[in-house]
Amino acid sequence: MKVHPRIAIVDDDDALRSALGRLVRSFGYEAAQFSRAADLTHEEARNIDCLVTDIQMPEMSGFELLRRLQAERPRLPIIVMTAYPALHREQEALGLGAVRFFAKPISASALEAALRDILAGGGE
Amino acid sequence: MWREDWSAAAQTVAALVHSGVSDIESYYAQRPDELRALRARVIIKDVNDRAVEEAGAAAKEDMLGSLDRLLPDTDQTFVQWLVTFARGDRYFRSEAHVTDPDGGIRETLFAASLPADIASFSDIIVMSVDITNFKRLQGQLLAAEADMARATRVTAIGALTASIAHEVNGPLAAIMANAEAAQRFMRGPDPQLQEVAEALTALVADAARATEVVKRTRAFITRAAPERAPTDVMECVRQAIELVERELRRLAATAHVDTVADLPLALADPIQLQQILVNLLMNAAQALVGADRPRDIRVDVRLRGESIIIEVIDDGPGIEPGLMNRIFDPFFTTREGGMGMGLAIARASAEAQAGQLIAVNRPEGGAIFRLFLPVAGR
Repeated sequence: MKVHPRIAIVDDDDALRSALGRLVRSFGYEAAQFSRAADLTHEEARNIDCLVTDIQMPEMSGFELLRRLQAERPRLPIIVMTAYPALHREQEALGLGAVRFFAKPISASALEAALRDILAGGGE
Repeated sequence: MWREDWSAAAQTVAALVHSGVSDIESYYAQRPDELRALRARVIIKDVNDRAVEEAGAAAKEDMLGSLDRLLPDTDQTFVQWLVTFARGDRYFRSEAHVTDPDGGIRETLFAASLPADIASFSDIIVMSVDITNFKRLQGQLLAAEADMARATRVTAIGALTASIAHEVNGPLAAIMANAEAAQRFMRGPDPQLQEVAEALTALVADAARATEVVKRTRAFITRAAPERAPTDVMECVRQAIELVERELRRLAATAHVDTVADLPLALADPIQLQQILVNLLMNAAQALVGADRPRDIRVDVRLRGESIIIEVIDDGPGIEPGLMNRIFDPFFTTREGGMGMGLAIARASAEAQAGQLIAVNRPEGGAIFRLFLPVAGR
């Protein structure tokens, strides 16, 4: 049994990823950080309560990760964030099962509230 | 074909040359009213049918008399006739715009053989060709090019802004997340100081990264380093005037050039210098919009110590004292539809060439934009 909910953060920007990890910890959660979508293995994905992912990343994009997880863990809550917020991206993200869509720089209180809501609603 | 009496003009020029005036153009740049008076003394004595037809006149008689009636106030070519006389050239050619009887403007190519003796200036045969259509097409082409250049510039600025925004956005997002995290770790009965310390260390690194982006951007912008070479400033001035001649005419402004003899070469990038001058000329012409007197712009080129000083002088409303410090700021404009980049680019470009660009108001009204350029090593 996990003591704290575990949040996975996938972003290829090292500074932002570690800052978001720290922020998530300051909310009282555990943070697991991944610089590449492919690093979030099937095994890792089973052990998280929520995923926060960037869209534009080399090799595997956030959208590809969403598609993969839709098959693996259809009820895993996923938050998508991007530096290029556009309506079509938001629609695509939500269409692929994301529960929230944020523009970078992401507001700490908005992220905190979103995680609280999502985790209160229960995961898988 | 035109028969014209230029004797008054030729005699005046001969007298000026005799009294030691070596630069007729500069002389008249300081005396635009004398120039207009002299122009009124050139008489069209006769024209052939072809010229009447081309000018769109009803009858030959409508075209005879003072040249003043034909050349609009924005004419820049008359003084070139006088310069040619002073030089003793035997041939003259110019593209002038003349007023037709309906008040329209016709672009006309004039050419004349000039006599050796002053007496014969009373009967000069001038050939003319109407080049209005040619010039109109040329004008449309230039306008299209200018539009394209403007569009490219706007697009380039847009692309640059977007790229800076994105590059700064990354560190900024990290700064915000680290700062918020540090605040949260501080709160509560049991602050987690180790986490706070790490967040602050990361935050400083993020801020340094943002600073790096700004530094890199600045380096990128100034990388288009000027290619400085010994440059004929007067050549650049003339080319700049030629480039904006049409725009000046649209704004009913006339540029007069005033310089000194034996001006040394400047150490400058001729293309950038031309761009600065184009900006300053357009700026001056726009300052004169609405003036109900001849809209004269004077371009004064002088040597002072080791600097060549180019002044673009207008007698418009001048610069509001409160705005003096801001007119060179990017995106600052007082003109509706203006982008506010002209003077900013001009100053940046002047400084990139080890020059300087300043603005002052004239006590008698109007503004002077003064460009300093280093003299090329002698």
